[in-house]
Amino acid sequence: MSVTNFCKLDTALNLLRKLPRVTLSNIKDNPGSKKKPKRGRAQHGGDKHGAGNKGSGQRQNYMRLGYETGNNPFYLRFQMEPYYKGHHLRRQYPPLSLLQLQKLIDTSRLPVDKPIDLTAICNTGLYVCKPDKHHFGINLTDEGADLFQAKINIEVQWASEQVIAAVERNGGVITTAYYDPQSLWAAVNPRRFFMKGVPIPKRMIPPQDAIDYYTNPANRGYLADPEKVSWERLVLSQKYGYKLPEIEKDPQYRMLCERKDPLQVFFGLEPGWVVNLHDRKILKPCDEEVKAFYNPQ
Amino acid sequence: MLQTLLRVGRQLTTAVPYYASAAPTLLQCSKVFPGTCHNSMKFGSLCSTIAKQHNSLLFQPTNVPLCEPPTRTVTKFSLQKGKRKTVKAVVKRFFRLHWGGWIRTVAGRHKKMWKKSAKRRHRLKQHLLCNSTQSYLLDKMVTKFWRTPKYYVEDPYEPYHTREEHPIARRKPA
Repeated sequence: MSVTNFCKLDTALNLLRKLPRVTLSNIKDNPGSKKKPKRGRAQHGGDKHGAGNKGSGQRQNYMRLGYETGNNPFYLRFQMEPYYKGHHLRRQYPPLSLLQLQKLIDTSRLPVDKPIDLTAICNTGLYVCKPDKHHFGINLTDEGADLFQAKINIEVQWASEQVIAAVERNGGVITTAYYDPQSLWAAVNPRRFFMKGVPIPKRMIPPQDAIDYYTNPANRGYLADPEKVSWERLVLSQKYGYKLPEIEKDPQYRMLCERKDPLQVFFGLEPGWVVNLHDRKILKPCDEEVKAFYNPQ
Repeated sequence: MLQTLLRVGRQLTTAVPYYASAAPTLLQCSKVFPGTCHNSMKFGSLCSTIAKQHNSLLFQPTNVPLCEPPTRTVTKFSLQKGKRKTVKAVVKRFFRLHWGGWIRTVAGRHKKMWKKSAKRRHRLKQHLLCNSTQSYLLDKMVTKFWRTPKYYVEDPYEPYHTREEHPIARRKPA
């Protein structure tokens, strides 16, 4: 290499040292790497350029959606109807059929010897509840009620009369319980909630328009009087014509009697506790004021 | 003089709450009557006469859009986030079933009832299904929010959301 070449290299390197760092904002494509699209002008190259022949297609001034060139448009032709009135306030309960529930049990995705709640069903990964989409939990529907044979203690958020009858006919127990959105976030994905390292919230009471449902023993509401619930069990068995199995004599009586406290979100965990997944520890509040907040007597 | 001025001032301030400030209104006055001065009595008296005669002149600043004009076209890119927007007129008139069909009411269902037969009046009360082309159009005019199923309990449209009873349209078993 000659001396002049060295000099050139040296000056180039010196220049490079003084120049700012190469960043996304000051780099340029290699010369010739980008090829601009050509608009052909020859016999076939300069034809229609994909815009079609004549009319608004060629001029590429497409009409707006629904416009009918002066007609009364179809989408404005009819009177208004309050189909979606108050949709932003209405609670949604994504359905889960009894057939699906039976399938989950048969495929060992749900344990029968433990109470089943929203958390257990969400953990199967086959049921999705999205609190941000105004979902408020499970609506257990009666599809496959005749095939349902499991004896379970289940807690759902909404259940019809047929569903209650189908569960109780097999000696099972069903409760309908309300979860406010904050508790629901914790209940649908406990792992994500525990990772946040915040105390387990206490479950709020249902809103005004749901309180009737959840205090009604006929709906097996979690706020209903247990005495009245057992009476309604008998009434329903007579209505649907099955013999009510005596759960008092059942070997799984303790499991069937297990219920959550109205303030409780998870079985075995109380509101106010913090679950540390990393150290596998549960932290319980000691302060009297905090205790009183989470467990008002 | 002072009293008239004060009165005018009060009128102006009462007019203000609808708009951002009193400044454009005053400016407009001076534009309309370039010879007038703010402090002179002339201005005050003129202003009050104008206020009496053409209330709207004082109240409405021209060339300044107060709110967005109503549009029924679909917004493909919103100003703030560049998102698509729903045509609200569609959601107010149509209802989407889970399987993708849209239902609507009948045009003229409350008009000239006296000359319509009982049978026809009954038909007017029904809700109708839109055809495939119309449903496709309506699907494009609303956002994903309206196309996702809504799981309400005690929903009167619940039996119509699936078509399991029709052998061709059924989805289950898959």
